[in-house]
Amino acid sequence: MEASITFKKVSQLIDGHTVLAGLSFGIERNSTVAIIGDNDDSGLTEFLRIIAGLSDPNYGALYIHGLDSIKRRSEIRNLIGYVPFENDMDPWLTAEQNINFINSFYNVDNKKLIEKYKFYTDALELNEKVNIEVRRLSPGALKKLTLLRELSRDPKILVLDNPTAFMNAKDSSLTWDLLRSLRNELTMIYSSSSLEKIEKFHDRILVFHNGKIDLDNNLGNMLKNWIGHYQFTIQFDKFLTPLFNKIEKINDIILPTKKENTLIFNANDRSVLLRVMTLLTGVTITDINIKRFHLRDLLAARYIREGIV
Amino acid sequence: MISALLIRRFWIIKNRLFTTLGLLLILPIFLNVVINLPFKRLVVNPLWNIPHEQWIYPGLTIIAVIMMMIPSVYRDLFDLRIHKKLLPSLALTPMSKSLYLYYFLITVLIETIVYTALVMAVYSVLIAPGFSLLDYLIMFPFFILFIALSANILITLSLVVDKTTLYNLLMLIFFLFIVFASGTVIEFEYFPEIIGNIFRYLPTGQIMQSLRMAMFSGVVNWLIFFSALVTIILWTYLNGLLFKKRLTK
Repeated sequence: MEASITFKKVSQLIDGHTVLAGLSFGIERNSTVAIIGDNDDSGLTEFLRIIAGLSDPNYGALYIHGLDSIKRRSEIRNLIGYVPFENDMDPWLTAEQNINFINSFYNVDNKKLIEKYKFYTDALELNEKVNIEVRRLSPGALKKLTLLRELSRDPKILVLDNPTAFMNAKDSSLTWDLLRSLRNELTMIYSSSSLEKIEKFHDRILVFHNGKIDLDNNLGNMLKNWIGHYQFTIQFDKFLTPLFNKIEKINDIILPTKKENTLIFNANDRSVLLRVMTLLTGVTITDINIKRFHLRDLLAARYIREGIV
Repeated sequence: MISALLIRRFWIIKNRLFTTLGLLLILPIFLNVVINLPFKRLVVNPLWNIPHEQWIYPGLTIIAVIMMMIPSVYRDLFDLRIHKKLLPSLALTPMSKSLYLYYFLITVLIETIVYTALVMAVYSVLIAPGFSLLDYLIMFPFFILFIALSANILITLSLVVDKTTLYNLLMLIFFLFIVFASGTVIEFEYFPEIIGNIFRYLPTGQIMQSLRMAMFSGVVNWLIFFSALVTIILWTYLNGLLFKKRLTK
């Protein structure tokens, strides 16, 4: 697939502290990429700001649709939409005035702009909010209005810093539905504090750790490569070590553990349980538990001591 | 693009129409009461035998217009900047940042010219200086020069200072400077010689002196006029660079 964004050895320092260290990778066109990072998320915000064009990398180069982010800045600006974490609209203008003012500086066909504006105003249920002065609106409504501002220009790349921050459940759901409907139509890069939402909405997840990308894949592959999709816990009346040694040798079993009379193991397929069961003749099972792993479990397993979750 | 900025100014005024109109009417009256009326009684022997009403008219107009201009610059370049509103999204547009600042200055000047005309009309009634149409026409370019210079001072302060308390203090000093040290309402002859000379040779003092010279003796000092114009252009250029730097920071 063609690259939408390409990082070449990009490093960034903030107050002498490295927040991004030598990033080299590409993001495919029209893909959806979620990013997760350390508790101190300055690296994530900076990563999004660099793509959006608010910061220039201290080292390395960034290419947007093959164009150098610094040398071809004005062309690139027309391709990107950026929804910051906090609203950045002028408090003394109405939302619509804000949107019209900012969008007037972009090279966008006016007819198309109006069309898109109307479409997304309806989609985000913002008809009653657009003519209210920004200082009188709630942070959740402003977040939706910022998204409306950016989407109405029909960008090729949409960068979102916590797209549903400050929103109530209804608005959050509405926004995620809209973003889902845009999947495969534009490149989306976003950060979110909701791991459940990330799990459901991505083509790829980038996990940042100490300024570097530590994990880079979709959730299915990440689980498969690291901890498996399922965890099985079997409790016995009496669980002896020779039996555990036999079970340990079964192919496709991940991280088998014996804790007194309990067997715990992971696997990518539930059928592994049936293969384990064939070895369990003559023993008494008191309980069986099957747990499907989620993103949170993967992060907990990998970073629990280092503060990501 | 300048049309977008003009429309935005129109929206801002429209959204606070009564406040703006109220201020536009009350401010000249207030300044007349607190500056013109006491000065009229204070200055018993006016210098150069020019009637007090005629002498104070341009200075008082300039003070009123600059006071009207302060909120615009404060709001757009200081308040929005320190609260990270509007300017970050503006920084992401394809438009040149320096160009934005130049357009901003032009927009402020256009808005201020409208205020100037209104304030001049109010003072023509309140002070009744008895000027001819030619006098008003002579005054106008000097007013624009003085306002453009003041706007550049305000823009620099708004872009350099990051603390509200310091900004407010500097605004107060700027206001006192305009009222007392730029020749708007107090002639430089009233100051001790050295201080008076310093104020006289500052661009603000030069413009005020040239304005009065043009009005009361009919002589236009083109050297001072164009020097002020060049100063304003250079200062605007530097402000453009400063604005660009502050936005990319």
